Amino acid sequence: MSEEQIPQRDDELGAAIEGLPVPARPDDFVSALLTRIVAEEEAIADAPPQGFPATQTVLRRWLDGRRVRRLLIAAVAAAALITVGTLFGVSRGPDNTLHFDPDPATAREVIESTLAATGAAESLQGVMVLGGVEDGEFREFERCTFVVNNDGDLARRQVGESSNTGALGFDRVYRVAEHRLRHLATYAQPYTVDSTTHEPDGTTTVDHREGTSVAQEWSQMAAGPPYRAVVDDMLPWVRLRAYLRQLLEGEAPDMREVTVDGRLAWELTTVQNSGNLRDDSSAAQPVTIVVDQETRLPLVYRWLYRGQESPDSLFEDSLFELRFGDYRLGDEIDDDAFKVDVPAGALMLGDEMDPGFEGLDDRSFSEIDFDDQMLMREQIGAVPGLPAWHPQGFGLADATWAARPDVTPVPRGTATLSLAYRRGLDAFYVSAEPTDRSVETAGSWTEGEERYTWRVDKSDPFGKAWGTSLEYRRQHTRGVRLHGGAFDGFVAHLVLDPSVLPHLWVQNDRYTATVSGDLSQIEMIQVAESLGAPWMKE
Amino acid sequence: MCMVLFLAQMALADGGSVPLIVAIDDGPEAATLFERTGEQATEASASVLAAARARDHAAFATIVEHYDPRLRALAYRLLRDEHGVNDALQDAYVKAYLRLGEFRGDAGLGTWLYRIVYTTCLDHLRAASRRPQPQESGDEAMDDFAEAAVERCDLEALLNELPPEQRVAVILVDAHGMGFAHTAEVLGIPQGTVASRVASARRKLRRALATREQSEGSVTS
Repeated sequence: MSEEQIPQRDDELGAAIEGLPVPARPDDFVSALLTRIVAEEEAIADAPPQGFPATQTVLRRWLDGRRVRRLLIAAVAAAALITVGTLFGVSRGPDNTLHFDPDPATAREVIESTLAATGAAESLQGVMVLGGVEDGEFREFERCTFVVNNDGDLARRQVGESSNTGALGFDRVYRVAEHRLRHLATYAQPYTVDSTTHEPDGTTTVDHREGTSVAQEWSQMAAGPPYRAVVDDMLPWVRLRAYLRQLLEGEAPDMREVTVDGRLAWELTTVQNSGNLRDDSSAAQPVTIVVDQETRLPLVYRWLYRGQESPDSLFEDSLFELRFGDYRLGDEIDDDAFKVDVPAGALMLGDEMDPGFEGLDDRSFSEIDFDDQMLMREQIGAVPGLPAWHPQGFGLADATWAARPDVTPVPRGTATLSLAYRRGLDAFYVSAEPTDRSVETAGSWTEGEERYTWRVDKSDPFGKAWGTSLEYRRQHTRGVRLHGGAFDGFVAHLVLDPSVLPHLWVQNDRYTATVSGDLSQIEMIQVAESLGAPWMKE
Repeated sequence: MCMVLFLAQMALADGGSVPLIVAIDDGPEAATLFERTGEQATEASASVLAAARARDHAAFATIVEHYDPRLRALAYRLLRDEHGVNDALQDAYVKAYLRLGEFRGDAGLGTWLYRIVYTTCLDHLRAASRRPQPQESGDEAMDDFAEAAVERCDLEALLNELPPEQRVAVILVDAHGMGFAHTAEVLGIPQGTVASRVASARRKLRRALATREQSEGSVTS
């Protein structure tokens, strides 16, 4: 097995650790615990009224002291952001293309030329290497080829040594096509689990005998994130493009000339700073992007993922790096590029993770008049809040809905909507779902004489979908109050962290919407302000 | 997020479609109270959970007694202090009890409890680090201890020498049999970071195991 591959479990080591002694639980542990619980309950019952309704105490705690100051700073920052974005926003020509200057003078010009180099292309192929940097050395995790076209079809195949050796090697292909999103992965390499390690209760169910293949197909994928869709996570190149666009706003990255494998390139470095929720500079998140001078295509994308949750945290940071190469731009892509052959006898995994999204009709989307509200009612029982505005050149390419969203089951008629808009290789996504207040939780406890409060807010559907790691990402959130549309007067949150697809989320009492993808911050806001009332009932 | 999913894909655990978790051994008497729910290993039955949420102390005690062995092992490996472990676990269980009404079931109850215990232990570690340390347990003394541990190639000592974030990762993944995905959920970090920490920890611990095996082999021969 190559050193780059990390098995899920080292049984021998695990058994050795398990065998280490652990002090026994004191006999009176549980009774002491229950005594303490009773005391806590009595303390809570005796606590004086807060002066706010219970539902508002969380908000009040959140708004007190430093948070108010931080919010004020955030508001000023957001206002400045909008001003800067307005002054330096990207204006495209009528043909929606930019012809890059052969000798750009600024990082902004380099980024614009990079986006222009691929934005109008019909296809893009290349090789992508994912790895991490440890002790200054790059460690390759995975190498794959990828191909995308402007219909949103996508395929990725793992190549190289790692696909041929070791327990974790496998061939993986994705396909998204035919407007009904599908995900098909073929694991052509074995994933072997020693049968002796199986637990008596049978919960270790991975038992792919050596040489077998495992395939999985998920139909009913969403049109785009934050729901399960083969968009961002399968191809970080997409996320890189979206993030590059964000760099056109705000402070320009530093730029210097470098050489990568004998090729002249520009290295852009910037620091993504949270700015509004943490006072210290440790939240700063360095990002490096290297762009080939000749092709204007990205070669390296490196970012520091801050693992720590607080300045004195014990967590460590992780430096991730993506390398790109062997680009082919605009080639005609054969259908076979997206074809996936499942070997005979392959183990087909179940589809219990089917996200349950459906196209709005079995007909091709081009035949659907999305302005026809009667049709929408007929199809899904309600009228979704389609955006009334989007940047020039974009068109609705895919629309899906689910009677149940990925995470929270909801009845039909309060369904989740997922839309994809495309313009060449650019794409942005809109989602709307019922607001789930239960994902925002808070509380407090007493320790000695100190009283601690905590708050976990996963209101961002991207966070709800992908778990607690997004709690950190939320620190890279900027608030902007919307003026217009279904969310008029509500604060939208722009999440601009390189480790997640740039997006905006906003919620009112009934609905939560997101806008994500290849849009500038201003454009995200404009799209959000144009959203009609989602699921407007008759 | 991309890194997270990449590594999840590498591990054949993407989308949770491949259950990997083996968490807790159930005694026969617990069979009626704890049951397997889909991909989760063993979780409290709905009735026990509902009773605990309704402030039934006995039901909550049942849950605690069920999960305590693994959580205690984790806490002890993190805190390395027998009394501190009991304090931390008491704090964690009280928090869990008070917050049980907010447990939505998106993650398994075990995963939820693991996270509470883990974060509570970190709080205790931070609090301990802010307290004045005795002179003899300063850095120099710790360095000496570490060197001695390496020389002894004692697994427990080397495990204790790992940074807490690596220690907890290797314990959850290797000793408690969690996959990267669930470990990431417990720790609140990306799966890629879990993989990186586990790999680093294994490299260090493997050295101890190899030496021990060599030693045992020479004794046998």
